[in-house]
Amino acid sequence: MMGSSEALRFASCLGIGETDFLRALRAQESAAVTVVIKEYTPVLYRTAVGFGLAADHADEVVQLTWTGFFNALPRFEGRSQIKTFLTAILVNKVRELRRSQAKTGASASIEAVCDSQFDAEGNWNTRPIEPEQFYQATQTLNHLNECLEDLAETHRMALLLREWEERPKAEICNILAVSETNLRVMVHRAKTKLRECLEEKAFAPIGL
Amino acid sequence: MVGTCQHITEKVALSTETSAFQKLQIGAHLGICQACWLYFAQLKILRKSYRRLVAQRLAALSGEHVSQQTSLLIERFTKK
Repeated sequence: MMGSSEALRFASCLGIGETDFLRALRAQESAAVTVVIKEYTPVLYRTAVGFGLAADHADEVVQLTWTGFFNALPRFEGRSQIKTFLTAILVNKVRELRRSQAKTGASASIEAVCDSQFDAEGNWNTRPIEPEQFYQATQTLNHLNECLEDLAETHRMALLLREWEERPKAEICNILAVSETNLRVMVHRAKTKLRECLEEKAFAPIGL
Repeated sequence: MVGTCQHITEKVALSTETSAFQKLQIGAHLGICQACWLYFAQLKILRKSYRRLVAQRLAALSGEHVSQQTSLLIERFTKK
């Protein structure tokens, strides 16, 4: 049984019960397929593009996600929402795509970034720049775009799902298969790395 | 005045050693040092800029394209 408000909503749209809805979806009947794909394809595109994929790659990943969804549907027990289940598949497809592009986020040296902020006494090595200057540096968004590319894939996904999509922490943990503590660390690290990268790119001395 | 900057100890200890942050100078406001205040002010700005960037990326993806792809997907995954 699905037992989710989401399934009830879909079933209600079709004038059937939850169990019948799930059966129809598994049988890939037109009405059930239509209602689910119409609801979630825009969400999947939004998430894929948010992860940094270009439009053609987003097309590919969204198609692969739906293929994966219908292949896995017989094993879907309804313990999570369809949206969560789909997003978890999307995340795996994006990771596969990135691996095939050899962009695994190996450049994410966040430990070094954190360490370099402070001296042996625990004082800041360099004071963060004034907020007004920092604000100016983020305005064109070009630097931010470049810096996002340097983030570890999972950190970027965590940042998007939490900061942009504002999904509940428990759902993101389910999608990324991490604990809530790990999620908090990942989002914090992503923001710290972005901040450091922006300072470096926007305020690097000319000629260096 | 020298002591522990509570704010940065709480936040940054998530990802690195707490002991590295024990000797920060306490600022006049909120019990955190000036540098940490700047740091967190920057993170707030970053959040807004990040949200603007994602919105810009999404705007580049036309609704018409998504709509066409949705129709193709429905066609593909409906069993005849």
